[in-house]
Amino acid sequence: MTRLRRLTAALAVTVLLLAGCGLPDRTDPKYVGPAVDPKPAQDRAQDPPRPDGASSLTDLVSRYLMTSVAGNVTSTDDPNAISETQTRMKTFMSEQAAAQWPPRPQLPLIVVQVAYDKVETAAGSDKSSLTATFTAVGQFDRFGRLGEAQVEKETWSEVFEGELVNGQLRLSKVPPYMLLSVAGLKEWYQPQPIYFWEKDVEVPKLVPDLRYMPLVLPASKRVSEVMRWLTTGPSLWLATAVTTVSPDIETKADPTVGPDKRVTVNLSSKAAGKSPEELRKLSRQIRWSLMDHPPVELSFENAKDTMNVSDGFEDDNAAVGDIDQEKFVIENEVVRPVDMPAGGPPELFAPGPLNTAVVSATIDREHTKAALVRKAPNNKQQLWVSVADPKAEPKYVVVNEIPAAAALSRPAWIRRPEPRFLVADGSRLWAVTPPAKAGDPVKAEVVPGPNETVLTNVSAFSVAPDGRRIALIVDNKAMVAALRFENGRLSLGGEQRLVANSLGDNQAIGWMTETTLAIGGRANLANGSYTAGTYSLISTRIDGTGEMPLPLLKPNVTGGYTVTQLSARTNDPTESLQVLVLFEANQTARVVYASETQEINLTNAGPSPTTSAGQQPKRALSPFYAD
Amino acid sequence: MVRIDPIIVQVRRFSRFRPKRLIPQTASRRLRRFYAAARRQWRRSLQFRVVGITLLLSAILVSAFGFTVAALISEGVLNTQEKASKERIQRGAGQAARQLEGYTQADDPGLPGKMRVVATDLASSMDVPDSEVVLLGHSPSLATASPDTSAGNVMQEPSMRELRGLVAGDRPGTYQQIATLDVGAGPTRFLVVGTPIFTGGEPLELYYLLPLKAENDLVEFVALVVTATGVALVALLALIAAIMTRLVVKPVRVAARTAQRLSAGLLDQRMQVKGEDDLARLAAAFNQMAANLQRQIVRLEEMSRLQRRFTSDVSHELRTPLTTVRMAADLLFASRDDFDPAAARSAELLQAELDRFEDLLTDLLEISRFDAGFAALDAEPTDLAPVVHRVAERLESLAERCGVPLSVETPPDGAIAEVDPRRVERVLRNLLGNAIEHGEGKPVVMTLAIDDAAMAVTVRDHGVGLKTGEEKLVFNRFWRADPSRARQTGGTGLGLSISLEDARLHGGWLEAWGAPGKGAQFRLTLPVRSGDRLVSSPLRLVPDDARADEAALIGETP
Repeated sequence: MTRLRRLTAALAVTVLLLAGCGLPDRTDPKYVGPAVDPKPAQDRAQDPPRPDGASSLTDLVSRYLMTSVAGNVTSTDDPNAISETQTRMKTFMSEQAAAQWPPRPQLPLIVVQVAYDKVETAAGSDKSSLTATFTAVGQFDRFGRLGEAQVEKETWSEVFEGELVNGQLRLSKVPPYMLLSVAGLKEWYQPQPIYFWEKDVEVPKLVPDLRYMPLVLPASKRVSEVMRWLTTGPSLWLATAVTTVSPDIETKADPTVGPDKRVTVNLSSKAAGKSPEELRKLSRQIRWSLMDHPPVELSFENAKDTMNVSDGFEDDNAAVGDIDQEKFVIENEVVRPVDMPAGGPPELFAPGPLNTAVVSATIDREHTKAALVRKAPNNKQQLWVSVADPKAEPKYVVVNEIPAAAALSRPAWIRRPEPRFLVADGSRLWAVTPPAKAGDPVKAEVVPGPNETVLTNVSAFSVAPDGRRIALIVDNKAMVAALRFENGRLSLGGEQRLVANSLGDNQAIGWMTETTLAIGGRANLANGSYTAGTYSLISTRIDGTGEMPLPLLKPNVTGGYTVTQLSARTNDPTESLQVLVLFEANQTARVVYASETQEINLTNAGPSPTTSAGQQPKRALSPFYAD
Repeated sequence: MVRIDPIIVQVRRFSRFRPKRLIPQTASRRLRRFYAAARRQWRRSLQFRVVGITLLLSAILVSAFGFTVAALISEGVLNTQEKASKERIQRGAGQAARQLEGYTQADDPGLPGKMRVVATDLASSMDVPDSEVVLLGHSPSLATASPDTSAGNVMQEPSMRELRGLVAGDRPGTYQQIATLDVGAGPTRFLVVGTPIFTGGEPLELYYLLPLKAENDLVEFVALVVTATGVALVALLALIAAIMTRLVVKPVRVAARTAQRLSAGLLDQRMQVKGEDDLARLAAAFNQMAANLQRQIVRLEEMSRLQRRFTSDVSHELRTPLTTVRMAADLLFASRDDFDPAAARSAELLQAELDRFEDLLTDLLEISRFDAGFAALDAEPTDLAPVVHRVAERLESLAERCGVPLSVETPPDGAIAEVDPRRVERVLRNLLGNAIEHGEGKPVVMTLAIDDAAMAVTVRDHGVGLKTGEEKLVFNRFWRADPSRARQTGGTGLGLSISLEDARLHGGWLEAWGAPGKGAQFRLTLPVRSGDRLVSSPLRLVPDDARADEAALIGETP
């Protein structure tokens, strides 16, 4: 290369270098960080409620009623030890009050609604008093379960007294038991279901059991709590439907949480003898039971080698998967999709002699099984179920075993524990097995209550995706119960739990999430009339806590409704919450949105089976999601 | 009928479309001249080279440094903005998620309005002027932007598809990229940061479009300052290099001038020695070298003067007795008939040997003149043809005596060259004499030729020839191929040496060729114009008949 060319090249490089300064016009996309977690996991271990800085006695009492968080958690070594919670509660008291306060171990932690009166201050004194009225909501046990409060009266009052101690307000008189306000429950506890394997089926899935985790516990302690809950066993009302953890499963030491949130559970040598399948099921059960479902590794006797078999845990929960939001309604007594596709309705809902006089219906997601509640003579209603071949005619057969009733509930198709239809006739709950092939008969049998008792006054129901929990409307009250499955028969489990709520009555129910129900009925009327602030549709946890009117942002829009039917799509527990609720109120099918409910609009990409040209469609009724 | 050659037409057509020069001819010529001048200056001036190299190297270094600084600043500015924008959007996403809580369904009729409110709230809290907030849903109808609603359309263009695919894809997260977008104010460079907002169902996408005008202005300003500083720095460095080089080059130039004067003969020229540094040492060494040279030259001059004086003295001193002896010998030779046969023979021998001695003395003096560098060339335009003929005539009798046929070939138009005729004649006489003596009775040919640059004379004999390597030795002093050979012409053994010096004095060549049994050829080549450099000879050194024999031997055509 001649000297000239070298010089030219050097100069060109120089010019290019200088020309390259400046910001680029375009770059490739670059990852800079994770998405914002809408509900970040809260770790408030360093931030327990404190008395310092309370501005008034009311403020102090309200903090005091929060500070009992984790009061239900006791030491695994010595359940009788005075807990940190009680120690913390005493910091709210004066010295004398703290000395006199009976910190009995195993004090139940009662959750209460609180209403405060005015603070009264004694003249010429720094003492003051405050009367608080409590309404019992529930009671925490040692295993995070919120059960029925064991109290003498549902509502009672207590007087708190306060005085200044070294310039700080302290309580000089407190009730002799541990109370937690509903506000404290909301702020300091996180609903955290743990899971148990269902029993009596070949391919079991996990069934959630709602517990509450105190947020004052650090991450590793929370894992210990979950392990303690699992090894103790399920809630009583679920016990007939699920298995318990083997007694050979013992934790050797506290679980550890790695920087990548991976959890290592140390088990004793007894667990090492379990089969790989059992250990796999255990690790997935633990993984589901932990908040955010981190990977779980098992180690034995603190060995360095760990076992990671918790991957693929999503397959163990029946509620996981794409949420099918296909909606159907009854229009002019004909069942049809809300959004009619260009190819027409599913075969089973095609226009025909039996797709008439329909009151309510159900269909499976594959569109191979459907059931209709049709009007029968004498103002009765009868159940019709689809035959084996959806293309065959007639498509449906009547279920004669179920007597025609004045009102049948909307039927439902369940996949688990065994695929069949369920329907309530206002009194009993029926299980109907449709024909498996042409010529087979329809089988219908009553679903008995616990111990073969007869259920009565069942007007509506909804089965959870796991198929082992059922929510019922019995005597216009919402209940939950376990579904047993023994020798091919369904029956209710031992205990039916009332789901207390503030509605006037309950008429329709559905599973919004694994542990939350949507309940519709009539608003709770004060003096028999509607007032601002009333509502007739709510969501609530299955233990009756966390009640929220729907729609979430504008609850009063349902004040004048009477919700007679409801269909909810259960959320995938690994995804963000969606409120997928359809209901019928005041003879209109509606859908719930964030700040309103809207009448369901029917669209016809294909020919409508219900309206001819020029004819105005009637209102849609009895909306439902495909089961 | 006119016939048009299509090929010619095509050529003409193409030639009409000859591409224009990129650079005009005059400019190109000027550039070439400038380049030629620069190259010349580069070769001649050390200072120019040093300054040029300093300029180039410092330009490269400063450019690299400047680029690095500019790039670092650019990267730093961008990183700061990226970090700030990441925090901004994460705050914004949290705020948006809180405001959109409850809107869990994509087809919620209240969602578009709420998105507009959220976008407006976020835009109003932005502290970066001219920035845009865009909120997008999975369907094209769910798109809102603030404050400029057209920003939403921009984010739905194909160029932003990749970013959107990442933000709401399998690995949702916060992503960013720089893109040039037109949101209504012309193409503007934006830092686009996007993150998903999980409200339930398919997530919404939040994008911040942050204009990079201020950052780009800053970077360009920095680049400009760096460039200007770099240019000034390079210029200063070049100036400093020039000054520094001048400090060094000046003494070197002084040394060069002093050396030139020295070489011109001014032996008393010396450099000024200032200080004790390297340049002072160089000057001192130079002065010492000059003093040594002066001493040597003076000594050599003295020696030369002594040599000349010796030559003159010897010439005079030897000639004087030689003349006396010569006179006596001539007298004796004249009276030899009166002597007895022995005395008469002695007188003849004496005469002959005195002749030889005289010739030897003459040759010695001549060769010593060459050695001392006193030989002078009296060149004048001379027609060499008569010179050649004259030499041949003078040696005709010798040739007859030796039985050697002698022939001469000269150009018909003569051969005029600037030569010293006396010396040339002496050379030719010597060559022809040797050829006759060694001719073995075979023909001897003397050939003269001339061209524009050179003239040549060859003397070819067919006698005993020369053995390999002897063609160089023949010119050595007192060298004889066969010492037993009688000297017919009374040669001193210095003839060819003197001929060689005569040829060199002309700036010419004297060469020999020979082969045993094939004879020899001597060639004298002189430049036509005195002082010209010879590059070729009009006659071949190897004679044609000898080349033919060699070719026949190896089967080639000569």
